Amino acid sequence: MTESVDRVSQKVISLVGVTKRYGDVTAAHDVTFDVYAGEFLVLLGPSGCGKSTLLRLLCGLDSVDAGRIERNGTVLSGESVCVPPEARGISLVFQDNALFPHMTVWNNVAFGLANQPKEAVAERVAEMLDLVRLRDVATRYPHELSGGQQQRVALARALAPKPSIVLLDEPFSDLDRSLRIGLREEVRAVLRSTGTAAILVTHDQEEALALGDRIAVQNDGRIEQVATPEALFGNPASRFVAEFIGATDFLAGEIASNGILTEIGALQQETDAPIGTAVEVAVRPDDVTLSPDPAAAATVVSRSFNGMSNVYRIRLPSGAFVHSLQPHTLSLADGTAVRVKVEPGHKLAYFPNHGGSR
Amino acid sequence: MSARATARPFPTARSVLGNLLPLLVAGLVIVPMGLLLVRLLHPTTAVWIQLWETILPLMIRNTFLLMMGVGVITFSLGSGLAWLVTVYRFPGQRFFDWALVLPLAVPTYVMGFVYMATFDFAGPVQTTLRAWFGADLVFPNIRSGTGAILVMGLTLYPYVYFLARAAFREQSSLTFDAARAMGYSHTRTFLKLVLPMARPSLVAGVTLASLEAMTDFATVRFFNFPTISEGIVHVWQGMMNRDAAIELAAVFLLVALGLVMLERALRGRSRYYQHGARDGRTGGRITPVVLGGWRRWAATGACFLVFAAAFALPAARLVLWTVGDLSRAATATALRTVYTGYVLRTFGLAAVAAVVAVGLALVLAQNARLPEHKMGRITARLATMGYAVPGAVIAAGVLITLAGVDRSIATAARWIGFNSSLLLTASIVGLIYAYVVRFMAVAYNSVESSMDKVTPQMDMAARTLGASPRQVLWRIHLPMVKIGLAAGAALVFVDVMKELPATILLMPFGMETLSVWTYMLAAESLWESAALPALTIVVVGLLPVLLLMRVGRLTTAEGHSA
Repeated sequence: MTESVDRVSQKVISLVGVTKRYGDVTAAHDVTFDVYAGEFLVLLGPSGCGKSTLLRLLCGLDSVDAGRIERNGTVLSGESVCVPPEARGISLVFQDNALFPHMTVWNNVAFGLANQPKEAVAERVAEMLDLVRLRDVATRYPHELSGGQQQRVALARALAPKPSIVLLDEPFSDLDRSLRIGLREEVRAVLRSTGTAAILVTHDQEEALALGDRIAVQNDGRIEQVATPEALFGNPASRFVAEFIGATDFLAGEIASNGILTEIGALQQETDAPIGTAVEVAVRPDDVTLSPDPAAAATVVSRSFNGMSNVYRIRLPSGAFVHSLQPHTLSLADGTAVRVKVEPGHKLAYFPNHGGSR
Repeated sequence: MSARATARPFPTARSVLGNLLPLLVAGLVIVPMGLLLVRLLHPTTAVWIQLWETILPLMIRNTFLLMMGVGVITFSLGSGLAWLVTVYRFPGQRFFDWALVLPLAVPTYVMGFVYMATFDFAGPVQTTLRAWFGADLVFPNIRSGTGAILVMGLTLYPYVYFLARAAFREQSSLTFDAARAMGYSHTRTFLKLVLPMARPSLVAGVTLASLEAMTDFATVRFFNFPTISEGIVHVWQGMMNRDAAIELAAVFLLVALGLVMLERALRGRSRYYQHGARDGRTGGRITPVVLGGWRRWAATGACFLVFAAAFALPAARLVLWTVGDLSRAATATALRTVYTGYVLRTFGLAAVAAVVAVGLALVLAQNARLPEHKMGRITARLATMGYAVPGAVIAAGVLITLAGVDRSIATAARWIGFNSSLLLTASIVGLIYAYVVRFMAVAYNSVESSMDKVTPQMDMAARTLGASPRQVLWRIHLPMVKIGLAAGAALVFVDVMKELPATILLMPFGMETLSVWTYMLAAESLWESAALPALTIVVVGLLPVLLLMRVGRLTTAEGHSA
């Protein structure tokens, strides 16, 4: 895929062919990507895809079986090398915040500054607490804080020793939705203001699209694609990525001379496969238009109303389903016969169809 | 590359020690038991035949009856009272709620001799009754199995009471209300819903009480109701036949292990370790019912009766005896030095055993903590099985273990020209060893439950913030578990102070403890003199009970004490 991000700056972290097996399970398979200075990279994938393994490898809690992890050009993990976690300069923020319950907020933030002179510690802790707007709760204990405050303390604690990168392991998933959105914006702003690179691990595609400078999609131990949110959405590199990002339907089709033939018409777009190749086209609800037409063969199966819009589920004559995004003003009863068209206004991604049409 | 796959990221001295040390600790516990069982393979037939033909069948019958009887009484009293104070409101309910746990501080043999002294032929009750109704009054003989069972049931019911109370509190009011809405009466809800749901706790409590009855030898001796525990002590000390006592102990060990397995089966698939009422509670506690009319006084009366019989009266009697004994000026001064000596010895032993037990428990818990350490949890379970083994059996196991070690030392010593025959066997090492084996579970449960709060993520966070594994231990683990360690140590301390069978069998000459002193005097019917050491044990024993009641964590901490 096209790497549209133009980087003059330096790589902070590089993973090169990183592989890790636990018994028969390959939790990380030939993982290669870089994180640049100040970048916010999201590692996205379903649960069990190996995201946590990558985190453990990155912070040195496990050794790699093959490949290497470098920080600013120095090998952290590799053949016969495994720098211990305390010497890596990589910080972690967890879902359950993992604050030390027997220490005040102040002491939690100061934990990573153990070997520095007192004044320097005080200055840095104060600076960090100001950054996350928690100076006034410095003497409290973690259990006296709200969930959002705890997570901000965890971020301040992770940033205090000036790590070269912060790893965020699903840090927002324990929070209420309203709180989550506010906090994640704030976390991103804090990281941006300090210029710290970060890897955010999540299974939430919406969070990934909203936050990531770039997104690495992981599946079954492999990295399927690393790209900007826009590139990922518009040009998914694999059927998995297309399926995982956006509510995607797949339509069976065939390559023709001027595009792709599907059961709801021809898509005019350039293709690079031989004519006659069976493909599946990735179609999202906003690509599909519909109009009531008693003579049409497709029917509305159900409608889900989201306030600003309606999303219709439609059965096509072949039995396949597509979804269509419509304004809230268009209200159609279940069973209405509709004419369906795909009018994306951009190229749609397609993948070879290996038989299993739906 | 395949070699790298198995390499640990940082194979330090810690991880080597961390893997080996827990196994050594478990070995310390398992070896005495194992050696005992091996003894069964070479029985001394003559002794066996003699035992079979004389006292053994009776002792087996008595042990069975005692455990069943104590089980039934503690179950009824414990769950009934717990239900009463949890669900109903009546005069004194708040007081009885915690006061009914207090008998936990009274050892069975203390209760035994107080009741013996009070209800025996020469005791105040029968004397008074004879004065009123004439000399031909028929009074049931208290020196009997029934007497022993009643007294022990009355002393041991708090094990069930405490666990049942915690379990009832954890239960959601939603389930309770649902049953009530379906037309169940309070009583029926209790029998059909609350009791079955509390089964794991109830089974655990009844098992602990029965095990405690099984380990006792002094009370049953007072009441002339010989059990196997009594038999081991009798054969060991009275007949001076240690080999026979060891064989008897080995058989008893098999019974105890069978019992533990039975308990596991009865608990079903519920989690083995009880945790306090702190999570999983939806819908709040069961809404209490305010009793009216005669019922409220009936409830108060029932609680008062049990509290008086199991704690207030025996305690008052001990206090009066002590005062009487001390008021005789002649004995008072002589007693002071003797008493100080007993207290110092007992506290010293208990403190050493507590520190050792908690230290070893810390090693086990550290190892069992991380989810990937399945082996660590198995090791911990093996190392804590001593709670189920009667004190006399542990004494026998420790004796043969140390005798073996002594023989090796003696052989080695002869090589370099020394003569040491009973280096360990005759020292307090054996005693401490037995205490640690017996009370490891008490220490471990305290340490483990406090260690629960330290999540693996905290370790990871600390490591990535620059702390070495050693610093993680010092800056995170120890500060967070220190209260658990202290609680565990306090519980072991008190249990050691109360312990009798292993102490009496293994104590070196001149190392008598308060419990032994109490027993010796009580066995001679010197009630007044026995009261002072007995009262000391009860008072010290009350401290952790009260402390843990306040923290509300006895469930986890005392979960396996027996």
